[in-house]
Amino acid sequence: MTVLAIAVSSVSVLLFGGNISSIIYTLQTGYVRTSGHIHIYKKGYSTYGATNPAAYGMEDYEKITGIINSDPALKPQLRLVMPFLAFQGIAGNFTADTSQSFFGMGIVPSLFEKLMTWDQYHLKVTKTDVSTGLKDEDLSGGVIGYGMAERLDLCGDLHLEDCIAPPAKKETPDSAPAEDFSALTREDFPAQASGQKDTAARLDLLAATSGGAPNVVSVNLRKAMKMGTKAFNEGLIIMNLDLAQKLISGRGIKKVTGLMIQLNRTDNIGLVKQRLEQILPQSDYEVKTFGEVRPMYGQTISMFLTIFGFVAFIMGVIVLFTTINTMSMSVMERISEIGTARALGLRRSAIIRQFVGEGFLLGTMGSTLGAAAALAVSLIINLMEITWTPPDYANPILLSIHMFLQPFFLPCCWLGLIAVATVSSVIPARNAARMAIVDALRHN
Amino acid sequence: MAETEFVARLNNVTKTHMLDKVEIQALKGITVDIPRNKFNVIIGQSGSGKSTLLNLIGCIDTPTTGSIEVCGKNVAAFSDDEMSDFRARHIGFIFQTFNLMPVFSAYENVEYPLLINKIPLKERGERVLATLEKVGLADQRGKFPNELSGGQRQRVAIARALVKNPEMVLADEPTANLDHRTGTEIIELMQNIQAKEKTTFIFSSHDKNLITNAEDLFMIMDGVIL
Repeated sequence: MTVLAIAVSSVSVLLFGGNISSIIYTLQTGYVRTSGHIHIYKKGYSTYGATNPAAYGMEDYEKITGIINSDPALKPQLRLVMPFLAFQGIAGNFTADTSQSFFGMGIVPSLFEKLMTWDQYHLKVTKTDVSTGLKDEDLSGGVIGYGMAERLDLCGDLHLEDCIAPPAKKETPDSAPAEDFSALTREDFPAQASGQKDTAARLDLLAATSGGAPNVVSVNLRKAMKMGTKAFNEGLIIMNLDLAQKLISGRGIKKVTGLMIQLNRTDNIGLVKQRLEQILPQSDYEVKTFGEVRPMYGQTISMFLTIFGFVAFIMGVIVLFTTINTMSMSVMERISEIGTARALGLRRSAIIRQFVGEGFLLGTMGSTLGAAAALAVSLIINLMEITWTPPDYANPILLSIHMFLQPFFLPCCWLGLIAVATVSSVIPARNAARMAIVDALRHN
Repeated sequence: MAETEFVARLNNVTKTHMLDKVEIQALKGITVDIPRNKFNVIIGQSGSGKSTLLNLIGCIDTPTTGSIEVCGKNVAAFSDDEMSDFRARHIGFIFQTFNLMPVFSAYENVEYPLLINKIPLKERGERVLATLEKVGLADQRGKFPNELSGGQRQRVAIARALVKNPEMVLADEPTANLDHRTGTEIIELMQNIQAKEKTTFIFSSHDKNLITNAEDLFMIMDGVIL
């Protein structure tokens, strides 16, 4: 029964820890796939950029990209360097007379596709297709969040299944005619207007340029995607960097918000950040890891590790007391044997060694059995591909258990439970050794 | 008698137990010398102190006052480990309830004292088989205690006591749990061994058979040697 109790504790700790590990590395994979490992901004952007993004746009991003890509120390670590432009505006489907505010992200499609395939931990994160399908040469193409597509009444245009279209609107005398906004695009950007591919799904995007003037471009939506968090799902449009720059820079100098760097392995992020800070003038640029850009990542991991630590502690206490109880019972049942052994000349230390050895054996058997069972259960769960939707997420992700992502996790749990079982045998062992021989012999 | 002729010498030994806050004096100033190479029997009624006396001679208990010399050594000065080592080398025990290890076979039970004394494997094997042969159980060596009769178990216990060639063998009521016929066989066995090997035996017993065959008899009553 003690072996079983230890085994069950082992299974609990390993499965829970494996799931936490899986969640943490899935979270990391998600962050790294959507925003890379490191961002480079103009100095001051991360503090003041939200209030005045135009002032913190990077003009010389191509030169900086060249410096980074050609650095011999960085080359082996780098997977890609991609400029990006993040902005906000209003998106309008004026045919359907709907509009809403949005987050825009201008990217290089080929690099973005590569970004999304990062897979250091070989985790199957989601069953959902995450490819944008955009091409570098598709200058006016874009992808919209699924929720946003529903709100802007693009279900039919984008041929979306399970789409909930908004109710039909009654036209009011005050609403501006839809064609007025569309006309802005045709007048100011005739080249773009004529270069558009025929598509039924088109949005007009209105934003302020870096000079402060309003600007409009049209984006031809190639698809709607379920995008990670709810906020992105209901408000993100990804488009070609060229189109985003046309909207934000207008006829001015083309800028980007920053450079997104993705590494081959997360392990080297500290060294890469150090190197970047060496080769880039620190007065002009700031280098931020994804953990610094999104503090929620570190906070989430901290929360999970705290919960795991607490559960592991509770399991350890259970094993401790279960083993103490079992070994004490064993001592009680073998008092006569202990007395006989002592009478025959066995030393107290040998009695202690015997019982501690039994505790060690119980711990080893239970812990090994538990590890084997946990491995089997985790394999079954992973094969079942159960999904769950985390808080504030639009996409379900796979519930998985991976015990080898942290190489020391399984051995440490295995050894830890053995150690607890062994240590918990010490008190009963000492009690056994200290018994008076005559009293022990009398106990029959 | 010369000193070396005594396997145990007790001088003014008392032993006091506490029983629920009541002080019980089990032995009251006992002075006795137990001779070597003899079949010694301590007799007395239940509660007379004979088991306590045997425990003190066997070094599994310590006196409250007085001195005890066993095999020429002042055992009162020993540490617990020294006492354990002394018992392992010099003293064999036979218990009323046999006290065999239930998870060991007959062979392993007899081997146990040799393991404690760190005797090498080959020598252990030879000595165990020879001793089992002496007690007539060589062919039962693979059996476990629950597969043996009472008499056979006591033979295994005797073999266990003898295998390390002790200075003395202490037996507390060794035939109490055996029927008359088996008890007689056991006593005869021990007598034969004593005659051949000149092993010192010290028994505590009510058994008339044992008493009849004693070479030296010690009577104890209310903690005093008569």
